[in-house]
Amino acid sequence: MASDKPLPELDPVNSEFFKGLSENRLLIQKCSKCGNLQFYPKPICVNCSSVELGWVESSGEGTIYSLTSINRVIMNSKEFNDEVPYTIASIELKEGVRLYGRINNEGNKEASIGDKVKSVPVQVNQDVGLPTFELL
Amino acid sequence: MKRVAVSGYSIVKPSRGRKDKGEDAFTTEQYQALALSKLLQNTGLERKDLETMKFGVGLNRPMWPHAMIWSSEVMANLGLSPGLTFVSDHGGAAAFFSMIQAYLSIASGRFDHFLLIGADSPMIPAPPQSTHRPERTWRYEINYEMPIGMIGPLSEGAMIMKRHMHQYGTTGENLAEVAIAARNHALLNPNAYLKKPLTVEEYMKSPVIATPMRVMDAVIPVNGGYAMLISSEEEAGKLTDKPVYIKGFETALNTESKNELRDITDMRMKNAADSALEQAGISRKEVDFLQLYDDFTIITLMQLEALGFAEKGKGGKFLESNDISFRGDLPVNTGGGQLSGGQAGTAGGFSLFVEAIQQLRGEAEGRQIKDCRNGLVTGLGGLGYNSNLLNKGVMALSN
Ligand SMILES: [Zn+2]
Repeated sequence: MASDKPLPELDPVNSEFFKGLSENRLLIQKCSKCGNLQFYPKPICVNCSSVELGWVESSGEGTIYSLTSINRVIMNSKEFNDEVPYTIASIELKEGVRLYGRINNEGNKEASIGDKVKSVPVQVNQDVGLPTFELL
Repeated sequence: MKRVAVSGYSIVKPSRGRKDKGEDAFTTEQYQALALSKLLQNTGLERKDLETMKFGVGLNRPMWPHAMIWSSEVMANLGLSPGLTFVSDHGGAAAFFSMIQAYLSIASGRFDHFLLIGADSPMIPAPPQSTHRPERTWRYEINYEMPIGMIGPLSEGAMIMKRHMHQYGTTGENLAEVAIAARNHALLNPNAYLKKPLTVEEYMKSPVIATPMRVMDAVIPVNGGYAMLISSEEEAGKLTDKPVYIKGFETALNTESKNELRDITDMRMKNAADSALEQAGISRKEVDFLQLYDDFTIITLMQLEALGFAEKGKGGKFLESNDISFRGDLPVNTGGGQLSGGQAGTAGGFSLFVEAIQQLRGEAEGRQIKDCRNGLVTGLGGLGYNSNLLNKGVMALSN
């Protein structure tokens, strides 16, 4: 992706997630105390309030929970003007959390709710990858 | 606890800052000043009364301008010396949460009045073309939404709409009902922005920005300003013979906080509605109108379900068999809502409250609901990540 696109602001809570994606791994935050999985990464376990949090690697397999095709960008997303239309989906991972990602399926069949997908992260630089999925 | 009432209000006509169309091009600060000036006029209060009143001031944190320490600057601008100020950062729910803060401050007996000023100018008030002036809204948007090309609330609203259609068969025609009802009301409201009648055909032809959401499913951003004076029952009686009482309210904040797989089509406001109604001592049958926070048509429909007026998933069917016009069996957003009235940034929720107040004071002119006694107003703000709204609340108002 071109460098003029917005990038996440890396911090001690989220950098592992984006680093993982840059290395083709989809990491989910896991509470070391109660085992709760949560997304997006947070400074505390929302289930038990433990601050002892680790990571597990997702299988990368999931299902489309909902989706939208962006036909028109607005002021806060001008950088994506040359990519419209593109599809964003809420992916329900097999592990039981949802996250937003791009559906990378140019030229193939249209994505729908319930479609099976797999994680194919796109590397932006050595510290950042972005969640992207492909229809199975 | 003292009874608390709305003793006065003011509305500054909204604008998109289009000087080329002869529209007003005011800043947020000017809207605050105009709203205050009109409120004093409407209530008959004089400037010197403010010197002796035990009052506080509540403001919304606007989309524009950005100031870290905002309330003191606004007090300096307006020449006010209140006993307490606060700024609500609840997004679209700023009006709702300000009402609660005002209520608690007055009910406790510490303050006689609270002046709430809602103003925002997301559209640049300058020629030649008004341009929407956005800001990233949430921290999670920076990290998990903007980098993949999401376009803010529209993309989240679109995914909620898509899921509701998938789960329940809700159609574009159902949502057109919401948009058209709002437009018909706007035609009757001198303070609504959109004044062109809307047909189903026009709705269906309106561009799809983010599937399945059309332009006509979303609010029209405007600049605007509102003021409401909230007072103890005793003090309200000195200012007006038409007080509107805050009879009950309940919030629903960050519901389902632990559930990663929450149903985004469910607003989960039933308990809040039950509680607000119980406090007010009225049943759903006694509710004469709903002013529902309407950032998108689907959110209006989902609230009909969540508040217990329509069955879960049957909001579309409800709209097919019920009349939500001001003459209908359940009037909804009788001023045009934000969809057609205009959304003045984070002050948008104020438009719903002033419409409720106008209806309950019998000042809604050509759109007046007959024998109007009780109404519900909702506040919503902050579209959560893989969620719907994080700040939610229901308030019962009666005359
Ligand atoms: Zn835990």
